[in-house]
Amino acid sequence: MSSHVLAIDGLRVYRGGKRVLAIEKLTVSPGEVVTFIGPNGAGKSTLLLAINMLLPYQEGSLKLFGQEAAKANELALRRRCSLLFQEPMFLDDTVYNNVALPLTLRKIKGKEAEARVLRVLEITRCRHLAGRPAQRLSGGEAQRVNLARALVTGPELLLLDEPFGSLDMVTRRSLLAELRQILEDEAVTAIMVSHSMGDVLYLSKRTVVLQEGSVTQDSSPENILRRPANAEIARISGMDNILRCQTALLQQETWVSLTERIGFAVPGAVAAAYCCLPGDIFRLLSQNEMLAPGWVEVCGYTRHVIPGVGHYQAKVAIGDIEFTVRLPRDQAIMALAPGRTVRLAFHPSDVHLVAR
Amino acid sequence: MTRLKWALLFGVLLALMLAGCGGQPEKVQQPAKPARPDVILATTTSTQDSGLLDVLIPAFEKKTGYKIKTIAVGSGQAIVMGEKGEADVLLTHAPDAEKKIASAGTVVSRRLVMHNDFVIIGSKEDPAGIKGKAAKDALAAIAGGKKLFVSRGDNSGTHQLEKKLWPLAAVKPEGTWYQEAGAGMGQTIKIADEKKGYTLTDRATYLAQQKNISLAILVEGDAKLLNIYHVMEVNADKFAKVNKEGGKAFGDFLLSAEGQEIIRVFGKDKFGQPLFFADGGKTEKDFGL
Amino acid sequence: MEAIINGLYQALTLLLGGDAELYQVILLTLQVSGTATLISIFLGVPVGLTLALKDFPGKQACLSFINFGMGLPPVVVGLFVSLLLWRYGPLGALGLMYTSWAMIIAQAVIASPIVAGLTFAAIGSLNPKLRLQLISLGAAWPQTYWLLIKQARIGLLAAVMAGFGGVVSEVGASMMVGGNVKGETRVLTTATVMEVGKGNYDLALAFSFVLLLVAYAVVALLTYSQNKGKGGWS
Repeated sequence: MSSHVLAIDGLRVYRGGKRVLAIEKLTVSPGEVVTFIGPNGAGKSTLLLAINMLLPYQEGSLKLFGQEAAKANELALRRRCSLLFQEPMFLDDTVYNNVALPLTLRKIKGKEAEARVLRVLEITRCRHLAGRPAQRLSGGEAQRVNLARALVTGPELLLLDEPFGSLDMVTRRSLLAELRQILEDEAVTAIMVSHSMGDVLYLSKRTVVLQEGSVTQDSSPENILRRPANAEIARISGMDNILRCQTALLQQETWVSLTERIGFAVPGAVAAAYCCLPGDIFRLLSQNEMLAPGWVEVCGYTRHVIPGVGHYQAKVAIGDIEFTVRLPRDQAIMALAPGRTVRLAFHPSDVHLVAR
Repeated sequence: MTRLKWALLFGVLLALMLAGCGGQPEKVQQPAKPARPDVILATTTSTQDSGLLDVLIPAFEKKTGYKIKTIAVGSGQAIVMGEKGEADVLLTHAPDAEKKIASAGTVVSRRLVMHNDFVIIGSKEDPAGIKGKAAKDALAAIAGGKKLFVSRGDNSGTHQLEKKLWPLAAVKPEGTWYQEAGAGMGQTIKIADEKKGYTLTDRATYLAQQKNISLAILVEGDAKLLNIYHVMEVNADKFAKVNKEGGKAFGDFLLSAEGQEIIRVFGKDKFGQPLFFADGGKTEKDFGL
Repeated sequence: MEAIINGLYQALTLLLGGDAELYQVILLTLQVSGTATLISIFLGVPVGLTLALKDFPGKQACLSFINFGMGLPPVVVGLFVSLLLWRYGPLGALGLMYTSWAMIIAQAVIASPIVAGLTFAAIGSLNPKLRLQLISLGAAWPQTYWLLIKQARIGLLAAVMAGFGGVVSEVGASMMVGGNVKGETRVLTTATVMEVGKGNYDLALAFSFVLLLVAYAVVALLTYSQNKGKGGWS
């Protein structure tokens, strides 16, 4: 247990008489970078505040570095962490002094402080900003400085609350890439919360989904993309096709029907309300091609094609349903002119079924 | 602002505060310091406004080592302070009220110090035509002509005397022509001057204000207008916190040859005439009262 | 008009000539009002901070009480302090009536709610997230409070200056509890009133002139620091 940076057991947090967090078991090991994702109001920020001891918990256990947060010396424990807020606040002072502030608070001064500040300014590529007033930075600069300030103490646990959330996509992605590199180089344990699956993919190998204050999935980002635990996660993670479905139990298999005409069998007994089909599981069949055994064929006409790098996205109407299909460029150009009838096939094993 | 400047600013403030806590630097006492040096003198505004206290008190302090705290209010309030034991010695000019507290045992050793006289002043045009009249006739003329009269209205010695004069003139002072200033003597004279009204004032304050105003003395020399100042010591048997020795020392000083001499010459150089007449050893009987 | 010009001339002569009595009154004014302001800082700033940063039952009542206190008529304060400090009052044994300490007490009572109220406003105008971020950066609570004070320093300076300006120009309470005793409780305002009573308008103008200078210095310092704040920091 004590080797975990963070260990949560049966944690309950109430705010204003309402339960906002209920997390049964969750551990974070040293060096791990874990992202938390969930819809707005799922308790992501609340969790970070609780981990940073800015919010008390009423039940259960939350251990930081093996110490129970409610009983430990809050200040000492908090000083081993850094919390990076979405909207950075600076004192009206220079960038240098703002970055040095956490060291000043910890009574680290002189040459050592200077060396540390210059180093984090270097790795966050803010060295040139050192003498600037911190309250006059652009959004991107401010976030870099914010990161430098969070890293200057060499935190054992870095907490990030929707970092870079207010920045434009390009700046955000490049900052995330830098952050990932820094976390890797410095071997920092980090927990980031975000509502954007894109951010998550850039940063971590482990993603925890929070819904209504509880953990509903704790897995690799890829799994969450392809095998979300429920339809809401599928929506958050950008699943291409989330379709209502009906299931009927046959002897050793379950029959899944999407529409009256489209259906397929999956092994075992499954009760599912939704059927998730990632857009890239479809294969384009040429006119006279035979269907391979086990594959399911669907026929429709192309409504709209969205070009892209890597794959093209096509909206294909099949019966009453519009499918999102992703195809390599060469196939797409050949076959997916709008209005054209297409034959598509998918394998049931690539389909993900969720109960709710 | 740099940190240094802030430190400097704070330092200056701190120095000011420390200086404020410390004693006054110029307080070098020659005579032996009495056990209780602070003496509270409650007095009428005219003694302060005329400037008499500015010469009397330094002389007293220098000689005895006492420190006089002058609270210059009206005679009425000064007497109330005596009645509450909040003052040690009173110097007032309201004989009737003084006699009352003397007979009640609130004050002891009531002694006549000096006198000057009250005068009725007004604009040189003198719309009510009071010039040279007796006090009661003058007031009757003012009331009859409904000409503006500005009263102190603060129960001071002057006000008390004024209230004694109206019945003699058989007038009840009421109406728009009669205005109560509720202010000290100097202020009241200023108000009368601005409004070209009449007012009753002690001569000393009038002389001190003369340079600022255009009002002239119209009525003077009436025996009813005598302004007699008494010093009284607040009874220490009644109020244990009273500075008995200090009060007595001040009273004694006023009646000493030195004190009387100061009173006698005060104002001669500035106004060409003395503002007060030293009356040490006399009693009210000598004035036929 | 002539009186004003003569008065100003006289005032300047006294000021430049280093008139001992005038300078004693000036010094005493700064000492009394400065000390009262310092006391009001020690009382008002913590109260304002607590009200701005802590939640507790009765906070609204406290706030309205402070707002009420900001508008306390000085004369009423003077009367109550007199009642307390009179020889036969509850605190009469201290012998403070008609001393500069009595004035300091009265002025501190007047200034403290002003300082507290404006401190509350200054701290309240900071982004509440700043405090949370400072704590998460590892600030212990005294460090947090100190940093917030530093961040709100211009507003706090305004609070202090407003307190000082309020008491230095106040006459009712000072006259009542100080008594205008020469060399001890004679300050610029009470001296002005007295000199008017004596008919010495030149001296009264000199005192007023100095009072105006002090008031102007206060405003100038405030404006300077506000401009500085805008220009260089935020």
